[in-house]
Amino acid sequence: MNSPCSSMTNGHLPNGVLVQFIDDELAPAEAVHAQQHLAECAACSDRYAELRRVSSSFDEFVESLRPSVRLSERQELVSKLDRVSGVPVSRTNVKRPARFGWWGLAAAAALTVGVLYLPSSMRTNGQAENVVLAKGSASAFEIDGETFVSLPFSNPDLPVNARRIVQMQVPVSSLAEAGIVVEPITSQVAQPDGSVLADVLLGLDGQPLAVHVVSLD
Amino acid sequence: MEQADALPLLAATWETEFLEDTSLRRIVLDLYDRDHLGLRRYVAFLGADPETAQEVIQEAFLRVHQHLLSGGDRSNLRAWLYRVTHNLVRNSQTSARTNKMAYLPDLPVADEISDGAMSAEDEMLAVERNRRFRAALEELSPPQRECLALRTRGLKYREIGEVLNLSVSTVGEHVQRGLDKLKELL
Repeated sequence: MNSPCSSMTNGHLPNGVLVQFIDDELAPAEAVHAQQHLAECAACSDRYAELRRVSSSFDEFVESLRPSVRLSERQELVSKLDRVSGVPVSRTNVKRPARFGWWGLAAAAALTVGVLYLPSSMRTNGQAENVVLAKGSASAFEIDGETFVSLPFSNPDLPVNARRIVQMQVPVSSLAEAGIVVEPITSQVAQPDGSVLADVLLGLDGQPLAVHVVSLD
Repeated sequence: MEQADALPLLAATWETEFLEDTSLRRIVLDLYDRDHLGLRRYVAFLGADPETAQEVIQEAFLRVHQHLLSGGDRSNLRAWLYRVTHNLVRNSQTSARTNKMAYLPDLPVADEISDGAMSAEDEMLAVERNRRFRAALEELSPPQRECLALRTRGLKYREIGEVLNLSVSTVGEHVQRGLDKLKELL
């Protein structure tokens, strides 16, 4: 670092030092020296004031620029983030996942957060009557024509304004062990390993909020 | 590995990945909410038309997200964002062979005049000030304009140097000479 006095030119502060003082870019000792000098030297003080004025005028000019920004741009960014995150944003984008991986993830989800996936009780096709919910009825709502059943520990009043739906194999046995009994599961519904394919609605925090059992469609 | 043994690991992975991704998205969107308007002003300063500006800024924020996903340094995301944006604009101008001097496409006084918020006298003063500034800025070198514009966005000299790939002392020289020239011309 230069000594404070070495920055002087003919006993005055050069403009470079004054600009750095304005921008808070001087080392502490240099800043103290500059401040002391400005208090004593009218010539430097005048140049300092002039540079400050020009600097402020420039800042005001830049801030007065009004670039055109569409309100929808933020939502476009959110949609693009959804896509690049690899998380499907709608069912049409959902690819059937690898079997073991999603079985494990589904079980892991249930074990990790203690939230269980329930099949819809509002189906109209013939297989719906094969499904019996052992626990009390859960609230249901529709997304893109699919009926989702709220999970026991989710807050049904929370707005779903950035939904993400993940399709996965949900193991019926793990649900049963956790207290949710789904029976009888016919051979047409359940996979040989006892799991069912379901769309799981995730909240903004990544926690599951509701479920729609695809296997019953 | 037995499937049962894999479950705790999968559980941890599942939770970490989803929560981490949610957290990163929030960082990106917070950065967007705080900086996109200032960034748009800087991009306008670089001479990008509104359509290019929008594309570049969206791409820049996606790259921030990618940067975070890949475990990139989070210590100064603003400077990183400005550097990526600066390079994207310059690349688009190189590929389109546009005139880099055709900057400041947004006239700040146009809206004020049209919505009647200013008196006739103030309008004239604003128009004159705008004209003088634009004329004066034409006399500055591109690095001087860029250093001053980034400084207005609150970046320190070290950060400006990272954006423009310049040393701190060179940034200081550009800022000082740019202000000296503006002082003469305004």
